[in-house]
Amino acid sequence: MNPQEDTGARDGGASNRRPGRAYSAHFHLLDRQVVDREGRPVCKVDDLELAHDEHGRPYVTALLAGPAALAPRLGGLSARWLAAVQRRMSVGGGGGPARIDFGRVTGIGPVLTVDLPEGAAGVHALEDWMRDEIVARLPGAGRASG
Amino acid sequence: MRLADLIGARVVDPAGREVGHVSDVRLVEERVPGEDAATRLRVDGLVVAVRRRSRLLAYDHRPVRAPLPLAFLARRAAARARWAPWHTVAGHLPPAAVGERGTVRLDRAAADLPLLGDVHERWTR
Repeated sequence: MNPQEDTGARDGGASNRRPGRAYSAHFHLLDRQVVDREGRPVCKVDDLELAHDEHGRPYVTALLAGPAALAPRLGGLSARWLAAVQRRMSVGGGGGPARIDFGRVTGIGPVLTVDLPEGAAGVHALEDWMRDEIVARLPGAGRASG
Repeated sequence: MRLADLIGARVVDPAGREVGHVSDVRLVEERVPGEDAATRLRVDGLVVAVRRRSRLLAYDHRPVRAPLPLAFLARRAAARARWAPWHTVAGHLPPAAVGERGTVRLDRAAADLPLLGDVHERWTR
């Protein structure tokens, strides 16, 4: 790890995106917790979306989260099983992974900090659906804490 | 294209011989052309592991100097790993189906790629 990376890993995700910093996809990005600017958990990084620049070199365009993003990383039967379950249970948005534009990432450190507009994340579609359609209809759900 | 299409992908030389798999991807921040403040995270290159089931003890991205037993194990795991800068990638085939591996084709033989251990030293300067 170079000194610049080391500094970034300690600064707790403050705005630290500067030219020249280098990252390992496995060690610094994948499976990292994503938090919003107030430090509230948003999701984990399950995959990264890439596009090609004018020279044909790939660069990151978005963080991807959810089972649809995780499945291709698993490999083999587990990947196919998770992808099938995800397709069966997908709600809204066409079943693709949740996507956060990488331009909204302000910090890469122990957590990835994103600057999301209020209520615009749309990251937890399945979780939201479970809360509204299943949990909310259980007897006593209105008195649940949290 | 996704990162998952690259990580774990088979790496083949120009003759089609499998030389290993992509163990990790290194990314660097760079300025966006024409924009003063904006940066983007570009793929710098691939860590190619020649052992079939290796993630190089998760130390692909830096050398390990201490403690000594861990440094020994990390050096041993990465001893034959190669560094493939992105400009050595001639082509990439995404996985044919979910759960399968993609393929990265190099423009040179694996022996012509630098050893990971050698470029580690440059990364830490």
